[in-house]
Amino acid sequence: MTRWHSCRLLPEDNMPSEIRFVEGAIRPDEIAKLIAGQSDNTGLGAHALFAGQVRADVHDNGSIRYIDFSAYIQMAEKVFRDICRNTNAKFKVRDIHILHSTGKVNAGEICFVAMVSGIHRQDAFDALRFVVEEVKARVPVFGKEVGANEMVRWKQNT
Amino acid sequence: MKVNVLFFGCVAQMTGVMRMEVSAGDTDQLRDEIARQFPSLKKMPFAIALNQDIIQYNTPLNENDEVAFLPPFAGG
Repeated sequence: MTRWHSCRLLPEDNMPSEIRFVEGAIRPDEIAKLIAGQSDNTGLGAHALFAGQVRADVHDNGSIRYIDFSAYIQMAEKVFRDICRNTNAKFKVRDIHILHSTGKVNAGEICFVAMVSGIHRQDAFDALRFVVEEVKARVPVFGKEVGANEMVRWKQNT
Repeated sequence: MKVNVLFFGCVAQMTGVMRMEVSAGDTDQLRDEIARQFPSLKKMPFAIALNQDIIQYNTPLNENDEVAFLPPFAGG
């Protein structure tokens, strides 16, 4: 069963954006629902989308089998609001959706999705890159990489 | 001041607890008290968030503040 905590931003933020934490891997149908959910917003012309996948990196402990994610959700929601405000100030986009996994996600599965929707593709593309980099740098998510024989290494973004 | 302290990721793994209540007047005092209880913390990189905002400098604490010890982020 999928469980989530979500934070829908307030109307005064001028963007119906959302960050949502999903237990386990993000299924492809959840990504499809993000796109389908925009079909009533007929003023939009572009959805730019990034999906992050758990990679089976090889370390001293062997290749990564899965990552066990945890998050400081209250702070993540607060930081996301700030990211939305900054994105809104820099780019002409209307809507930002973030999905991120908590719990166990196997190599080859999706753990992170960012979708930025706007009127035109150029702002959507540019804003997407900005949002992804901001999320990776500022949203408090932690990842325990587990390899062969349950050996553990803590993931760190570069 | 009694504040609620939260630990995440490898810091929580080291402390063995996710949260605890600690008395301290400011964040430097709190950091020293936590390091006294968990000496291994001194070897770890971490940031401190006060009420969900990262702080860079020593900051006074109020009753029931939430202080989080955050290891490097790994989202995305």
